[in-house]
Formats: sequence, structure tokens, C-alpha cells
Amino acid sequence: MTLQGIILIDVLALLFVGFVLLLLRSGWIYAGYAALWIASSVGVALLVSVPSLLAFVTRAVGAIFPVSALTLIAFVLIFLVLILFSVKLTELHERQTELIQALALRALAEREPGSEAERARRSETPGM
Amino acid sequence: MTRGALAVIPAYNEAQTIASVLRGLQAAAPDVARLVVTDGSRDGTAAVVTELGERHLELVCNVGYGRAVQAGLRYAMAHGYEVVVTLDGDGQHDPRDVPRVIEALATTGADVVIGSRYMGAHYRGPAERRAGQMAFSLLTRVLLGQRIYDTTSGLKAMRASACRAVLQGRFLDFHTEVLVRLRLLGFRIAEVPIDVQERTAGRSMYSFFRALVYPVKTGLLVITGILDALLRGRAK
Repeated sequence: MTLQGIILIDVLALLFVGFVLLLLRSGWIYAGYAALWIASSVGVALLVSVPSLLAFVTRAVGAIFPVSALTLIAFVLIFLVLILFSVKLTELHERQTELIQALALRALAEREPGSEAERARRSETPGM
Repeated sequence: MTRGALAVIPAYNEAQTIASVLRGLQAAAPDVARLVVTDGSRDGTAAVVTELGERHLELVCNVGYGRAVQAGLRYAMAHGYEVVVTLDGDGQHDPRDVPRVIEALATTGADVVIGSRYMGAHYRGPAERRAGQMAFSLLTRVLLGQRIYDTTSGLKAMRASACRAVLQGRFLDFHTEVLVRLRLLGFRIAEVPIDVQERTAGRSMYSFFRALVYPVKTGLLVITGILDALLRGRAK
């Protein structure tokens, strides 16, 4: 890679890390996800900054140009992160559904004749 | 303590039809307890059901048909019901078929009885739905050795043992994937012919997008259901 390309990618990685840290500081991102993004940015910056490492990775993935190897790595990384987010979303959706069901079941149990809540309501109602 | 039968009626925005469904059910099957599951309805379905003095589970968000049924099954199992019947809240099912599917549990000895729209009945329905249904029907024949004509029927009667097995598995649509799983676990499934009416009010949950996604989604669930059943063995 040219020196200009290396500087550009390193600066972008630095900006990205700064942005993620800002998000983390303001509580907009969970620390685990921030660590994931920061590690990815630092990894890419390191890969670009050490020519022998980039050459090794390029050969290892069977690419001819370093840029192609970097693109492949980026795709794999984004794919894995998206899969992780799908899993997390599913987990959250499951928990939300369980909560909604539990709330409804509890509310019905309290309304049903003979329940403690219903008995308490009756005793509070004047004339009953 | 064991109780008789409970009709679970999932309802999403069915304020216009739910009252007639409940009245019809009361007249046709007075011994069957009723539970409406209002699935995040925004049209006042819960208010209509409350006004009628009917028992209902009010889900604060829309969680989908399968999850609404799941909530109903959880209630039924917690309260010791021996039989659960599911029917739609849109008035498509004739409440007089409810006692028929319950009786069929005894006469056929099955654990699950499906009210089938495609068994000698006059129901046609949209072409794409018929084609999809035929595909799933053939799939059950190949996978289970038993052809189930209507895998997506909303009218089903189930014994408590089948309900408990269903609750142990993954829930999504409560259609083909559940039937395949139950059959693989050794439960017996039978069908009785029913007639349905097209809905006259409210909106169907079927859409063009859903018609595209549904077969793929259900196919995946059937495959994972088979793997799950094979791994767990015959749990019954």
C-alpha cells in the first residue's frame, strides 16, 4: 500500500475509535460492543501499518492485491458482527415476548374470581 | 385439579367480530371455557371482551399468532385443562365445529384434531394459499407418512399432553412445524372436515410479503423441528 493509503486508513481508524469512545462515554453503546468495534479498528490499522503483516495476510487469503485482502477481511468482520446482532435481537425479542406473556398472565390471575387481589378489591369496595 | 376444555381465541384487531364469535361459542359449546388472547390490538378488542365479561389475556404488544396461542396454552396448562381448542377471532370458524373437534379427540383416539378446510369441504381460498397448503400437505406425507390436508388451520383441539409437548418446543406460527414435531414425538393427529367463511371485517394477517416469506420460514422450522425431535427422542 502507498504511504498515503496507510495514513488515510490509520486516521480513519483513529477517528472511528474516538467516535466509539464518545458513544461509550455518553452511554449510547454497551461497553462490550464498543470493545468489539475498537478492537476491529485497531486490528485493521495495525494490519495496514505493518507491510510484512499485510503481505503475509494477502498471501494467506489467496489475494493478489493487499486491498482485496483488506476488503475480504472487512466483509467477514461485518458479516460476523451482523450475525451477532441478529442473535442479540432474537434474544431480546424472546425476552420481550416472555415478559409480555408473563404480564398478561399475572394481570389475568389478579382479575380472576378467588384471587387474592380480587378478594382485596372486594373488601375495599363499600357495601360488599 | 383438572378441568374440561378451554377455547383459546387469539385476536388481533378483531373488535368487530369477537363478540359474535364469543356469543356463538357460548351457544354452541356452553361447557367449554373461553379465553381470548388480545394480541396488542389497537382497535379496542380488549374493551369489547371486557364489556362482555369474558376472560382474556391482554398482551400489551403484538407478538404474533403463535406467541398469542402460546400464552393461551400456558394459561390452560397452569389451570389444569385437559383439552385446549384454538379458533380464530375473525369469525371464519363456525363455533358449532368446536364440540365436533373435541368429540373427535375421543372418537379417533388422536392427541390433536385439526378442523380441516381441505377435506371434502367447499373452501377454496386464494390460489397462492391453496398452492402453499398443498406443498406443506405433501411435505407432511413425505416426512411423516401421514398426509395432513390442512396444516395451517386455526381450529385445532389438543389434549393436555400434546399442549405440554408444544410448549417445550420453539414457537413461531403454530402451524406445520408444530404438527411435524408432535407427530415425530409420537402424538397422533387426525382431521375432521369443516367449512369456513371468508372474513367480513378486519384485516387478514396474510399479505404478499408474508406469502413469500412464510414457506421459507416454515421450511426452516420444520427442518429444525425434525432435528430437535430426533435429538430428544420420543419424549412422550
